[in-house]
Amino acid sequence: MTLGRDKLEEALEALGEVLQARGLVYEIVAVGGSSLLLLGFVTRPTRDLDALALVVEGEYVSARPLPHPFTDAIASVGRAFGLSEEWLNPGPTDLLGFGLPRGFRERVDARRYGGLTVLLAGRVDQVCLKLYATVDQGMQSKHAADLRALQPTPDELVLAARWARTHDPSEGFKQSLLHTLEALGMEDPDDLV
Amino acid sequence: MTSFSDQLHDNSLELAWSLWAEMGVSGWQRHHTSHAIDPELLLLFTAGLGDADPRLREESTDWSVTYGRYVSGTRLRNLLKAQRPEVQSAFGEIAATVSAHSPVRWPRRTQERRFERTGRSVVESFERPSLIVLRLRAFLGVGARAEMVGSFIAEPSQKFTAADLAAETAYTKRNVAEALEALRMAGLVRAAHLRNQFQYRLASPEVLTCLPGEMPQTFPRWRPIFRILDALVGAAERAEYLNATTRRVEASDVLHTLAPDLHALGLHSPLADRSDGGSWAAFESWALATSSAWALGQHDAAWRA
Repeated sequence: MTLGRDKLEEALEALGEVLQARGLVYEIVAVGGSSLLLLGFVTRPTRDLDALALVVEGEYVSARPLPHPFTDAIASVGRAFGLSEEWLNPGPTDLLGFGLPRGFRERVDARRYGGLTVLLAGRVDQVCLKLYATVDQGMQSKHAADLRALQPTPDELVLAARWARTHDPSEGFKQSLLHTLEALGMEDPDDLV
Repeated sequence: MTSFSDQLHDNSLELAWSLWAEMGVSGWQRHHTSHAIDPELLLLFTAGLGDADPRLREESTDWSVTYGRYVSGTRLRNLLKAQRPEVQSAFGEIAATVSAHSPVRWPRRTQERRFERTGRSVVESFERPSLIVLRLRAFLGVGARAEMVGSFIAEPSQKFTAADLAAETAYTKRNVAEALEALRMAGLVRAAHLRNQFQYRLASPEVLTCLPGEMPQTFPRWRPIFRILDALVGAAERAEYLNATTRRVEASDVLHTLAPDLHALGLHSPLADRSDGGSWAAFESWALATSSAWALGQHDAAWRA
């Protein structure tokens, strides 16, 4: 089953209440399509909510593996609401190892649901992550559609492109990046990136 | 208005009382005259009910003092391993109390409770259909052999491996294998080699007609039934402190955990076909109907798949 915004909000509220009832508290950083849905930038339904990081004592740490009591609660809510048992998962958490855009933490949008706090990556950071994913998956991908929906300015695309290069400094990636920027309407991106 | 939790408790107590009355305890209602009773599982279920009904506790202890020699300590030990700590603890007191008033020595005895014999538990013989298990033990002795025969009576056309019967009867595979070999030597069962193990079946259904007394109409799978009741009562108690959303998750969780037991009884999850994941009201309604059917011994209740 896919998650529209209402269903996603309902599932997160349920998860927060279940965590609270079980005496548990967790904080995660969310990115990707579902986080854009919650921020109101896109309307397309998604399949899951991507946890980029777990916040432990104020530090962003890898979300893989999520703690067992947390995955148990996620699975419980998933079953009760007809979702996958892994509807909230640490899919993109490896990105954390390469570093996040500067100022990422100051731009997050915090949403509280009982025992769960979800820090939604800010708009500029979503542009960075979506540009990186678009270079990898192509202009026909859902990431490209999400990136367009974010309506990035040329300056934001330049910032995102420079960050993406820190993840993959190879020449091959640079060429794909330049093609992507051109496809997004930038003129002479080679001079800027 | 009586709460969901109270109603489930009442159904559980009604079931326990009816089964104990069948066993010879002084009681008003007997709804299970044609249902084979499992004494060890009933003892543990009763222990799990705690002090909800002191008279039930006293009278079942009184029965145990008189007839405890027909109860299998080995089965109790094996079955206790899978019980909640609260049940183990409550049983420990019952076992100690029975031990203090009789030569019966059950495992996991702890501290005896104050107890005075009432002497009201009387059963003239084990010829009642519901007492087939006790009848077999009186005839064959308390041990794996009587349990094996009971399993073959319950499903006369079924073939069993030693592993099947060990899981069914809560005896060790070694005990079961020895008992099956003895029954084979006696000509009661036949063994056929299947891959790397033996399958056993009754040599002929006629061999059971020599047993005295009437046969029960049904051999309920008490283990999943008691487990389901215990889990439903637990969920109902927890739900009193939960809101609508978390109750929905609780219902879904309990049914997920109970899936193997529901399957064993041929029951479907009441929330399985609901696209919205199900509601607490549907769960409550199903739980009360199912527990009531079991408590009243209704013939169309799910006794076994």
